Amino acid sequence: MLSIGWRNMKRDRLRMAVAVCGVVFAVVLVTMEVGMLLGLVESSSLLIDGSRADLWVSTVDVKTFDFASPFEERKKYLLQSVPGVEKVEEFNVSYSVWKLPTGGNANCQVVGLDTRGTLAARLPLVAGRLEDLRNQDAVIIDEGERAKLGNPRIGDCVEIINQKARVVGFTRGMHSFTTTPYIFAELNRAQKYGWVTRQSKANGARMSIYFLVKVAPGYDREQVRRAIEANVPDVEAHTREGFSWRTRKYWLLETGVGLGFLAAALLGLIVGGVIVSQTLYAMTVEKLPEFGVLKAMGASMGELARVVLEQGLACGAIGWVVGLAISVALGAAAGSAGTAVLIPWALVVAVGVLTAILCTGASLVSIVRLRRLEPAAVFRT
Amino acid sequence: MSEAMIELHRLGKRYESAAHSDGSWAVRGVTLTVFAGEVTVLMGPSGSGKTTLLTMIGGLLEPTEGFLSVCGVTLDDGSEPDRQRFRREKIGFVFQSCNLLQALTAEENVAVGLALRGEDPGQAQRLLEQVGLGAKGEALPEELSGGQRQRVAIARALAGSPPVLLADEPTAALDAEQGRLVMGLLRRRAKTCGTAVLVVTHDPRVRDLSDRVIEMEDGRLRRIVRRMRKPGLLPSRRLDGRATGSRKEVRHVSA
Repeated sequence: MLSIGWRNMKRDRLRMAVAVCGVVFAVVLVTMEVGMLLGLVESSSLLIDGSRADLWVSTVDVKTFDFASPFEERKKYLLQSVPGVEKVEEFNVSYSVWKLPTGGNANCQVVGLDTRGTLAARLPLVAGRLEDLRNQDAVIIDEGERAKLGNPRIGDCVEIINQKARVVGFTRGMHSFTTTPYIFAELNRAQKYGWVTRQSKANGARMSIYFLVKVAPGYDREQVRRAIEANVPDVEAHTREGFSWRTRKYWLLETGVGLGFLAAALLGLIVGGVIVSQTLYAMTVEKLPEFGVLKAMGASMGELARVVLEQGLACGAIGWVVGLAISVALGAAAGSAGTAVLIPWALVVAVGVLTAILCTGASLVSIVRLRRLEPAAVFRT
Repeated sequence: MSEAMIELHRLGKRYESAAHSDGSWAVRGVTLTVFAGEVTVLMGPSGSGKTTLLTMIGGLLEPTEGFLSVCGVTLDDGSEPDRQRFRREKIGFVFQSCNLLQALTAEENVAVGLALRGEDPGQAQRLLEQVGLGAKGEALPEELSGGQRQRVAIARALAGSPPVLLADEPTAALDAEQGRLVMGLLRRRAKTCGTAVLVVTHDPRVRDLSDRVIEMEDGRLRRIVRRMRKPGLLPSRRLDGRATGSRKEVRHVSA
């Protein structure tokens, strides 16, 4: 049969616009919520995924990258003695407090890395050089976090828990899941800037948070991981992917953050679905005499359902394209404001499938109404 | 003798009613035969059961009692898909308010009828030409006059050449000239293609273009008037109620 549904939509542009708005609302909400969630999840394991270490070693039962406990630095030598371990580098993360020019404080996370090492994630610098971190009191911050830290410029002197620091560079896109800014510093300086590492040092023994391990060529990574756990007491060794997933899983599932985002996305789907459903239903009711004629002429329910589905899917297709365009623009705006929104192709396709399901579901109410339509009623209109 | 296309024997339709314990009979005891090539007009006051009878013949409503056969098909135990197929293959409908699909052009409206009957939608233009609207194929229903819309509806009903054409008040909203055109089309179809045409109407002007007039009252047939035309005589161009070139044979039907 001809594309009656599409013609109906084209003719009733106001209703089509309302239905498309419903789809756009749902698409934008779902895409943005899931995109933000993906962005946050990615940021939660950014420093793990970007590292070139085969294994990450921490204290036992660390739930997430951000909340690890310190252990004695001397365990590094035990690690180096495990067969299959080629290289070990220290890597520290510790919460701290950054003094703002206004006199207030901002929480931050000090990341201590070995500037001569090769296993930590490369910093995407937009100003300064990694070697500059070797200078006295040098720190690097992310340009997207400057506002939170009182807008410091290169060369500005700042204070981190009563210790002098100087900004020597900016990274781009290095945001933490907890929204506290990362402050990158050389290992020794990070020891005095971080709460945990500083306190531990004050007790006499130098403490570390993580060790990054490179597995020697010819050795199986999983075997080396098990050997570390067997030979070094009170530590847990993770593969890079395993630790990344553990961190993501913690934020997504154990904190309820993921469920919150997904609930908001679901709400968008429901509201959008109701708008589309009501609009299609109003169109169907208005055209009941025409559907009655088709039924009287012998059109099957399948053929009538096709007309309604065509209307719904036409709105869905337009709403999907418009909604994605809006989402991409919003995502770019959010990204420049420091909030990562990821819209991978898989999300684009998934939202398309969801939109098709949404519009098909929204059409069902109309189809049920048509099922009850008596073709004989056409003689009474 | 022409082939019997519609055969009814003691046909009845009863609706459930709170006021009457045995329900309310819309049609009762109707016995009638309509032949191929015959134009039969069903007249009577409102509520006399004309439209109910038409919908039963069209397979849109199930009779409560009696026998109904259209083109040799009885739908006593027919499922809905059987009825759909029956309507597609055997019946062409023309409605009082045309009920064209407003979003489609005249040609597309006719093409829908063809597509439903499994015919080539490309024949739509030819059917429009048959009803004198060859130049209006691209027009939307709102751009057509009432008479033109009804002629498009007839073209749609003729799609696939159904052997039975059922028309409900096809001239009610039309002026005399347009009404004559529409009835002329239906009559020509009956005479040239052997289609059985059954028209429900209140319009007395339609009588002269029919072969038979059946009057109904309270759900029953009251009178059948057979109009016998002189051979070769064309229908009158006037639809003012005065018969021209024909004589009548009246038969009263006992209740």
